[in-house]
Amino acid sequence: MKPKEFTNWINRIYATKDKELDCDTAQSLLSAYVEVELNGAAMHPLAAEIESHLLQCPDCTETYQGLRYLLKLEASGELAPADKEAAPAQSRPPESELTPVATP
Amino acid sequence: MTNHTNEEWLQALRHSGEEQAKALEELRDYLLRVAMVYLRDRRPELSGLASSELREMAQDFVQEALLSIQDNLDTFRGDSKFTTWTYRFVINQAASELRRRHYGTLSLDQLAEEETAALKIVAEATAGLDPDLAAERRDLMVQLLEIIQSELSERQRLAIVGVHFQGRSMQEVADQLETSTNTLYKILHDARKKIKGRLLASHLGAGDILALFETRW
Repeated sequence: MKPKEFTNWINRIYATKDKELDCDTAQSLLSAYVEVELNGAAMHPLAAEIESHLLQCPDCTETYQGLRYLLKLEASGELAPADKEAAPAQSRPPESELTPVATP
Repeated sequence: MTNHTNEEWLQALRHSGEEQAKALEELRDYLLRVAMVYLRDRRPELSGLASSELREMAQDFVQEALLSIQDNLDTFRGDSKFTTWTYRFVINQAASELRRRHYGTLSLDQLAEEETAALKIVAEATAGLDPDLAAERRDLMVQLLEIIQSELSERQRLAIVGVHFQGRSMQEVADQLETSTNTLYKILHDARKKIKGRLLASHLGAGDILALFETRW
């Protein structure tokens, strides 16, 4: 482990929340999260929870970065859109739809 | 069919017969472009491939992604554009397959052997330091090692070593532990909570630890 990696690790440990989104839930929210983020007009209602997950999960971060890249290309016209629907307005899903990591 | 609404995509893909076939063909063509761009621009490890090889790879990933998309149509929340939602399946299919091709050789023994090596390296990086500071760092590392060895289960230790210390992908470590990435995340979350809890119980905040490493490495 390199020194910088050690301090990053310590930061990850202390950034741990009692409840965090699991990967399946975070993945299901990513497409809307990235659209809202690039739109810039509002904040996704679960932005804090998603960002907290991304901080801890390299694989979901890879998905997020790929999505972000593709949507930026799409917005600049380099990926022709195949649908005419604007990103829907966001509202926070009911708690029952969320599956935070359950811990004993 | 171009420029569909979300509802039009869903209806066409849920329909059977010609309408579904047409929608699938259109989505396949579109996602193939998406996959080609993703592989070309976001996967530097493929830069040596000819465009025909890249296209063949993209076709395979899109075919698998389309099957997943069809299986998961009912999980589409409608909170994004339908096509944005489908990109995720292409990215995940490509990333997952490429990770598997890349690693292939990690064993549980390798993870176990390196269990505490990472922290020992940090603990020993004290040459030239003020003796008091060097002693404080060593004490901290001893404490961290003790927490990892006494508080965490074997699976939690292997998960922390693989993902946090060695920087391996969640998928690679999950495969070795014969579990899903979702379960691995939960294992890591529990491990992080235990470590954090013990450190806080010892009145050690993040600032206290980081301050020991601000001087010099």
